[in-house]
Amino acid sequence: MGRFTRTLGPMVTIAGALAIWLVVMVTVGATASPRQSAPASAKPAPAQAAQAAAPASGYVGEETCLTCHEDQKQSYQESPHGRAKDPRSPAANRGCESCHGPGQAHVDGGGDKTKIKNPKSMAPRDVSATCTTCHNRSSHDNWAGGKHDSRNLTCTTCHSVHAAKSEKAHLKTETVQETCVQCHRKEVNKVHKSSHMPVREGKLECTTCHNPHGSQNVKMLREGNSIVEACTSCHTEKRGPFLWEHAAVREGCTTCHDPHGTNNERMLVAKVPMLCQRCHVHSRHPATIYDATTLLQKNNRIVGRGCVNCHSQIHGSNHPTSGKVFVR
Amino acid sequence: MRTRTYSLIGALLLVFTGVAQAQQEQPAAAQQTAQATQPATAPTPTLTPKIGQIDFGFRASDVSGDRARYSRFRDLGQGAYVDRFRLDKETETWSFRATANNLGYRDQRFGGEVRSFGKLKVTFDWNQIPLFISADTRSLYTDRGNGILDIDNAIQQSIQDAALISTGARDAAISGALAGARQYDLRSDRHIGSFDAVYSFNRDVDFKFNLKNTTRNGHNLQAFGFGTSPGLNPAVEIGVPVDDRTTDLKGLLEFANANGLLSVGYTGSWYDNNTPFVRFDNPLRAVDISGGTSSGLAVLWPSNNSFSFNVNGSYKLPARSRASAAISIGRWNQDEKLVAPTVNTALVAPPLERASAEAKADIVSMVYSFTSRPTDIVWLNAKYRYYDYANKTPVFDQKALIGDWSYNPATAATWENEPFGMKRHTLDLDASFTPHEYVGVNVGLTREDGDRTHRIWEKTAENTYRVSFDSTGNQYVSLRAKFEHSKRTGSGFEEAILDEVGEQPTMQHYDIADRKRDRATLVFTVTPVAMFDVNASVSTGKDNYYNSGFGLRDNKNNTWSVGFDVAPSEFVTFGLNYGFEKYTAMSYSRTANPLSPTNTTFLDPTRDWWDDQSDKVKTFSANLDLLKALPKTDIRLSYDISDGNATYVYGQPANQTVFTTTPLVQLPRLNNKLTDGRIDVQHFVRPNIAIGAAYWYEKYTVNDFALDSSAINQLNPANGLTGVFASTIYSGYLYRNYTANTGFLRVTYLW
Repeated sequence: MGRFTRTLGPMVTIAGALAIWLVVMVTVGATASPRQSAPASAKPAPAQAAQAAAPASGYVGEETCLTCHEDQKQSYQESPHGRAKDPRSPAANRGCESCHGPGQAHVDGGGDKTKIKNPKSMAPRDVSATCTTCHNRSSHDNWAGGKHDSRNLTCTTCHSVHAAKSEKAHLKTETVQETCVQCHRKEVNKVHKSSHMPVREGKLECTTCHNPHGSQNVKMLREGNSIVEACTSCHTEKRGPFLWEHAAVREGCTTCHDPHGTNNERMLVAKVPMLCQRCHVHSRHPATIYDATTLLQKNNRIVGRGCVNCHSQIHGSNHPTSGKVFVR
Repeated sequence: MRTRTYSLIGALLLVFTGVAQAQQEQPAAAQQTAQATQPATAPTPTLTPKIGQIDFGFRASDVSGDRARYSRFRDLGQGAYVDRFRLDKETETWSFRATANNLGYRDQRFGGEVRSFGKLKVTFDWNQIPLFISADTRSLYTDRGNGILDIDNAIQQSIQDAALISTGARDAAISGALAGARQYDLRSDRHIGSFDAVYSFNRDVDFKFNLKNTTRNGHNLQAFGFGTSPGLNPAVEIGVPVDDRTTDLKGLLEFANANGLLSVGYTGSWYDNNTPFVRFDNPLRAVDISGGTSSGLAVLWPSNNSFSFNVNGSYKLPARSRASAAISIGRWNQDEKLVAPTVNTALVAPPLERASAEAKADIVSMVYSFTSRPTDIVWLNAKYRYYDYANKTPVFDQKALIGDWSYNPATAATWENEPFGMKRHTLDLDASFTPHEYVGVNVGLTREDGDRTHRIWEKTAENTYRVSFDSTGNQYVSLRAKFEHSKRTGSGFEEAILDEVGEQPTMQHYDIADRKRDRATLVFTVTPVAMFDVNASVSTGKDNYYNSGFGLRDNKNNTWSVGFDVAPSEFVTFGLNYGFEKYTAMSYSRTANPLSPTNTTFLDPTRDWWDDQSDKVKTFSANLDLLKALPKTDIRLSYDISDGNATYVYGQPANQTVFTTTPLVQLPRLNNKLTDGRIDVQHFVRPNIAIGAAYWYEKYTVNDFALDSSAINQLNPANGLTGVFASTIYSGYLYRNYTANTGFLRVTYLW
């Protein structure tokens, strides 16, 4: 103890599993049917499109689209997609056809819906592939392989380019919370508990901590590379390292706290002293039953903030002596 | 410092604006290409209004009960107010946006954004978040600044003198002094200023810059003692001063095109605490003696800093594949000066081993992922994550002393710090099959290996298997279901760590203990017609710490919800939802003293006990929007209830030997209920002017055995049963009910 020990066991397991996975990928990839591969190569990226001579084969131009789709004109032109001066925008490239693909066949077919890309009728990952052609930078870079991608969600699950209701981010609902609650009701309901982050007051929102497009951190956390790093990106005072450290704190804030809200003081997952007694059962006062009699006696290990009445520096301490037991 | 920061922000704003203007004068090649493919439209030189909005009016609140909790993170103060200010202006080449909320109040927020399309985006945000903890707190202390909290010497002397007479006289003196305690609002404010800039050199390359400054000022609730257990002779709950600042800086150069991405970045964060310690008087003593000090010294959050260098890359591969890598290398530093072990002048303080903390940790994080969709029906994903938190704080050996009480350098034990560190290797493998456009099946495996220092388990390994089913895209039915099973196993058990602190050897810290976990979730939505949908969700989870004899043994979580939304016309929407959540947990313990030849209670199973926690919450929400259902009128109603109760029930074996003289009395039930109803009516007297009124009703009821006024009465610190001094002098922070009525009269002006 006290030193990291290196063994080959986990590394061998990981390397082996990775190798098997790659073999599976290559095998499956080699057997891909031409029919399935074709659409991918038929979709020009905007970068390529911008460099292509206009009008390219199969493209009809934005004005043609808007001849019939007049109702989409305002929402498109008022959105960032309609800003022609931004070279990365659809308007600066193929217009409507940047996302919906070449429209010639659709026009020639008298508006045949099967001959134009429409997110409503596309496979979720095809929709994602279309959007991430342009939305491929930092905040969206981890979409592929992320939690939401793995569950077959796609951009249009939450966003609407043409019928957005939110003030920002083109969401289908008015607020971020209303979007997230559709699948994460358990977490969103917690913001109404007595101890919560200022979400119901409108000072934070789900996306303050989470990046629904994926991240390098666990739980799609926006900041850092661990739960502790994410929490201490705002609660910097608890970052440490401290001279005297509390193991549970270093392992992860969620050992003791539920950041979505609880009915316990300071979003603790259980009331103190019972929470502390989940790990501290050693002799003397941590191993005592604090029942209603001790409550009447105003025992300071259960009334008020329980253990934290004395062990107030529970996140860690720099006090050279008393810090050992987090009392100063 | 603040002035300098603002000056810096202003200067940067000007620099970036200048750069943007220069870029506008010389359109990039990409822009020229874009113009060539679009119908020529002359740029509009003048600012054309897009939309603006402002709400203003008068607000009044009536709060009975705990006004601090009602205003915990907000300010609904009475008076005139300006809210929801929005100003958007946009030309073909640039846009401007300004926003403001609740101007002039503690929770005000305002921001601005300037964009030169394709060139520059500059954003500024100022967000104030109040934290109003208590309006019932009282204190004998006066904050003298610089972390000094004083009590009038005469009060200390009178209590000290009374203690020489009898404990009764002492307690009476304490009560007398506390009767004159000063009421104060316990609160702090967090002010966050953030400046972001994204400059696009060309179509592919961006430079991103973020500067964030966060300050906190006010007081926070903490308690400190003066002696040693029990009670730390006594402990006092005080409002400790909060005065700190965090400066975060991020810079990122990013290249991205259709084939991939490469970015290099730097992140730095500096936390500076202007009040690194608090010195507080002992209300019971005016003069130091070896058995008691006249004041104590506690350290507060130490200043610290962190930085990291980050490199990210991703590249598109054949067969709709993509490989990516992210590497981050950084360090956390904390080198605050160490304070003297005691300020009790009657004690000889043990010498400090070193003058400052010298705490630091090196952090390396790497994430490698590979995603492929070789066919339309197959999706594969592999992700390997490595995280190394190498705590390099040097060993610190220190003579033991708790508080400022009875120190003997000859007999004092030596304590050594435990700089916790960890490594995690995590491999995720997932495969998804989409045999039909509406159906996806995902199977996955996660293997996580943990390697920790100074923990009872040197290593842990966890395998997680999961399967999920997602049926989406169908306009009538969507179903999402997931099942996950995992098992964590530790190796290298270090019983000596438990023995050293007198823990039961079968106690296993639940954050790393052997564990079996099962979790299942299901989300189901039926939309028989476009105007109506029914939704339901169910989730269940169980953690079984199967090798834990003492400590947390298991916990379970069950939730379900059902609701519907109906929109019979474009003017009316109505929704209801009801949810239920139940969380249970069981932990096991033994009432015992340290093992010795004369005391074997440590080994006696008749002294065992367990604690069953049960936490239930019912949630109800309803909303009705009538937008122009009445001519020129918008009406919005919402009603939310969160009703929770919790019990902690102790159990003992039939042959228990702990409660032999007095019976065990179970703790009372805890209750928390929040009711929140709102109605908002707006009538448009003109297309751009609306007059309106809103009414918010909130009621919070709480029964908390530990924090209600029957448990804590700072004016009577004596034990309720025995009359003996109860060890802690509280500040009066309580859980209290409140009922609040807030009304708004407002005018909304759009332009």
